[in-house]
Amino acid sequence: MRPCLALLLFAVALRPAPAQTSTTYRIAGTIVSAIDHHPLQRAAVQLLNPENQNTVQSTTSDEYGRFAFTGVPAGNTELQGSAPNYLATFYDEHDGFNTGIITGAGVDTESLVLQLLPASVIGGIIRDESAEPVQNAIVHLFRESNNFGDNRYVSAGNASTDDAGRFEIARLKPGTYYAAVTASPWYAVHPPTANDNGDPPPGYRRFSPPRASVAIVDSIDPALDVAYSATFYPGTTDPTAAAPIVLRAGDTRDISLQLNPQPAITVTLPRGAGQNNRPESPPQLHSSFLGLPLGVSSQTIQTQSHTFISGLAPGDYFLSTGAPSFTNGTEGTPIHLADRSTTAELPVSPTPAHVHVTVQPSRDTKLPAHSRVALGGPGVATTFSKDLDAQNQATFDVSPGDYSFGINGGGRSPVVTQVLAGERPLPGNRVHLTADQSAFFTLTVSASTHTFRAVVRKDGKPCPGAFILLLNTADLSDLHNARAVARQQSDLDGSFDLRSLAPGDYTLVAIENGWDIDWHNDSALAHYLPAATPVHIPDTAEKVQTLPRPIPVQPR
Amino acid sequence: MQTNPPVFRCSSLVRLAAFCLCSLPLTAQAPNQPDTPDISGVTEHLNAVVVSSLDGRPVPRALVTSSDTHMAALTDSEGRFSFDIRRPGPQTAPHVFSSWPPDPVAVPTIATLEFSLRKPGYVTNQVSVRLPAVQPGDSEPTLQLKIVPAAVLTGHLDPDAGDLPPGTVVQFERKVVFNGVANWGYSDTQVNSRGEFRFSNLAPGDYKLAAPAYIPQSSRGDPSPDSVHGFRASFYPNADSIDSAGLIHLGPGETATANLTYHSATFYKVTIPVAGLPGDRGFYVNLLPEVQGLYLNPNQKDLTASGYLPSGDYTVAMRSAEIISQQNQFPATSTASVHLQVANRALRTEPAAFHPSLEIPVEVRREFTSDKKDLPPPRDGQRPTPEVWVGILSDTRGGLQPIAQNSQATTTIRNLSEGLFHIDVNSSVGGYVASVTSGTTDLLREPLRVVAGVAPRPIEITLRDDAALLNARVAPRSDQLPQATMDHPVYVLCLPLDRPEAEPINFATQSDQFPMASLPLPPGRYLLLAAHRQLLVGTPQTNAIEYRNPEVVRDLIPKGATITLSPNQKADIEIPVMPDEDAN
Repeated sequence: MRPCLALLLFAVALRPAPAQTSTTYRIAGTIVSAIDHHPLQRAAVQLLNPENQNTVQSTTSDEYGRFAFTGVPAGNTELQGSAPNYLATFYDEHDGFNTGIITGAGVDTESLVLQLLPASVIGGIIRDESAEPVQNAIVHLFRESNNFGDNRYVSAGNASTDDAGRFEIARLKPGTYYAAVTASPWYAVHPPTANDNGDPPPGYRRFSPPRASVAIVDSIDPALDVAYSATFYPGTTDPTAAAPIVLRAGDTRDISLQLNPQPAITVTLPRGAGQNNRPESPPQLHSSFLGLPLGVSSQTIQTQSHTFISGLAPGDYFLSTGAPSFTNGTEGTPIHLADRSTTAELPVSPTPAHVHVTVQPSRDTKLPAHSRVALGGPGVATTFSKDLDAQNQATFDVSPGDYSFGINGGGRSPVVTQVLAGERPLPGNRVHLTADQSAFFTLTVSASTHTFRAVVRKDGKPCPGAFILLLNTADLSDLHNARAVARQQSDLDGSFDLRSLAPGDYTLVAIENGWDIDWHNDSALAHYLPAATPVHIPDTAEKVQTLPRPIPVQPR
Repeated sequence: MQTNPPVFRCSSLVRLAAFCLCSLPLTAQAPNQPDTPDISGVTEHLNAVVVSSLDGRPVPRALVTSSDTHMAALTDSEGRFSFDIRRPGPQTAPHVFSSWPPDPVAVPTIATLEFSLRKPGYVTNQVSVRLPAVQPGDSEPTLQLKIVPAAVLTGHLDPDAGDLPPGTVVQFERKVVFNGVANWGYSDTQVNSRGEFRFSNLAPGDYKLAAPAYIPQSSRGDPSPDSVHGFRASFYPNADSIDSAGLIHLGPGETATANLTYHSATFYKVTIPVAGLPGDRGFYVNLLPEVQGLYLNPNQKDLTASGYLPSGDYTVAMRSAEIISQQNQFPATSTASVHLQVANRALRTEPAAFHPSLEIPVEVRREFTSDKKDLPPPRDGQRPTPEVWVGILSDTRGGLQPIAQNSQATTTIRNLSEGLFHIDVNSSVGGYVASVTSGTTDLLREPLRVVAGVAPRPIEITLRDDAALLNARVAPRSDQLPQATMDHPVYVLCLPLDRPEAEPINFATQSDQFPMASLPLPPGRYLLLAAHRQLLVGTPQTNAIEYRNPEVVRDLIPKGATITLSPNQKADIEIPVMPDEDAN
């Protein structure tokens, strides 16, 4: 029932507790390992308020893994357990959603089985070419995620090695992972050189103590100008040869790696000009792995005329001005580095699109002071935003691409209910902007959003734990680019809420055990659309729309 | 030539002035010297060896870089490396001031080079080596550079119930000294999934170990719960606070193990409404006693300070956030104070009222024997300069920090609240600060204690101009080599022994043939310490001198020279230069 991951673009569906009564209920069950179902003794079990995640009650399991809470009022609560070496897990948790425990609805809440997943660990030792430990190496871990419906890879954390070269990334879920290591040789010295003769860059002067009475003759051992390439498990510097690490629950995997230095490369770039009285953003290089950016260690020196990026290992990089996005590893100009001294040109920024936005609040909506209009969305490298002026208008330049509009303001921000491109209403909140395009949009926004409430049933009985997906009906014509408006998981009595919905027409899919469906894939989702449920949210004062009939769950 | 400095002030300004006085020759001695020296003298090939400071054994595969970035090399299997230098031939050179105004003379030069040494398992450090005369073709190492093996502190943190929360950290704390007062600076690391932690690359010294209190994320809900379950802060070895925590001594290359237990506890919601906060300013909240991981947050929106605390007694000191400008470094603030007793339940206190902070008037009396020195009249539009600048320093966890100062044209100190304060007085009209009192408290010997609700007695300052004059020089070495050279100056710290609250004086010299300083000093007893490193610096240091600690000063007396000065006395003193081991 609760999205505990940062799925901020999706509506959060929570069900308010029914009116308080004097009757109380019991929530009880057994906490077990999700692998072999052995009971977990002295595990911590707690009930949480789904509205704010406050602990309502907490207890400890007995020697048989049993737990019980009494005096629970009618309503909705979340059940979570934790134990040493197990992941803290909600009842029937999937991808950050879980099944809420509904008391007072006539469903059994006293024989629950709370399954905890044993935590997995990836660790090892990073060594150098002399088999000595590498300290301060960064081990990056990536995990396959279905949160976006397309099995993309996301960062699963990183760890720095200690003085013994050891690292550990713990509390991992079962899944498919990849690992990459970035580091610099501890002894590396990168004298900035402008050419293969080792000449210093033009305009660059080494520091000399002003009071020195002797001078040290230049003698930097060229063998020290080395760098490590990003190295991928199981020990390759070729990202396409990286191997997956399949972790089962409770696995502990050693992925020790060795790093080998290579002659370092210096890239020479001209200094760019700043814009709008701001200094230019220094150029940066990053590599890409699994479509995500992978930072590289390097040393940047700027003179009046040039920027020198030294300490780079040979390989493929992307050159950009400013920091790369967190999600798009291929942003920037591709550059292949092989020569020890490489000259490159500054990346050319794409010609922006010019966006003019007028915001029209609906009749019952007052825009918060200092509201901003934002263009962003999943997969978008940069979110652009601009303050609205006194006429609720904003004009700004954005990079070409696909975006959604949003309104940011204090407190609960209004949602965009309609987008007009010029005079033409768009089917959803999605726009495609091209270079140098001048586009005028009118946004209707509403602070009063709606909640959709329904029940999923299977064979006439409540179906808890079903995968609920809400799509904009207008997006169904282009499934490949369709985005979920909301995801949810049905609670113990089969009910669910979808909140913060704007008026409009939606399509709802409820699938039993559907959590691993690649719902971003046209064919995977298309299979379920014929039996999908149309949902209409009218623009009325009624803020809670309850579907009078149960929704039949579709089999996986 | 006798020095006649314009003003003596018992303050940090004097330290700076004295340092600048002695530093002037550094830039004046070679007016035509460019920033990057073009020394076209003799090229010499130098051999060097890096050894362990622990046992003197050679350290192979250590990275040596010169501070000027011109040289970088790894030592070979015998710890050796070599490089070339260029230096002028036999020379005389730098002119050194003996006093003010300058009195240039010539002294022989011994060059010094700065290197950085680095190797895993050792403390990265800067070393300064003096270049002796060498014979061309000499293959024996002529320079020896010491690198210090690093210490390691390991252990594990065991919860008394349940599992360790994700992201649990352990802190080590190391003593740092700032403005003569010792404090504890910390660094932290995450424990691994087995509760193990490891701090490496530690410089030898004394450490303390703690695990900060853990309050779960659920405390940040809206509305937040009345109580949450977490872990109390833990201090090695089962101490109650960081102050009473035991010292863990780590020698070079040593590995120590220290374990901590995390005790689960209930933390109760504490809410303190505030009233009387001026304007729309925010405010700061300090919780006492300071415990790692415990804090109350100021909420400007609903005018409360709130957070989660375990049962216990606390004092909450709040201060309005005023705008600090270049013209007003210490704007008047309002303060509020609340004493809390958290007893097994959530607590919402009565509103804490902000009041303008206390003020204390300053009265100055001059007992000058010479002609009265008046300040020049202020220029048009400028406010007159007060006779004295009085700074108030507070002993915080971040060190002794200035918190208040009388503003221009006033002799009133604002921003005082309950607590202990050190007073730093600078005269603007010459002479020296002979006494500073508040009621019966001698503020040159003990701090000012401010009690809530009690108006402090005025600060009475007496200025006199019958200072003594001390000519100091470093004592010569037995081998006739100079102690202080242009590249290797000697730094001196002059501590007023009978006025422990008075600021010490810091100065430097580049020659030991002439007096390094000839300064007027208030009558009294002094300890002068000399070393080849700065003994008083403007930033927290692990090896700075804890000169406000009487026990530390007592132990330093045998390492320096002491003298008692009477009014108008002129005296000379030779100061032994402390061996590097003592100075560090």
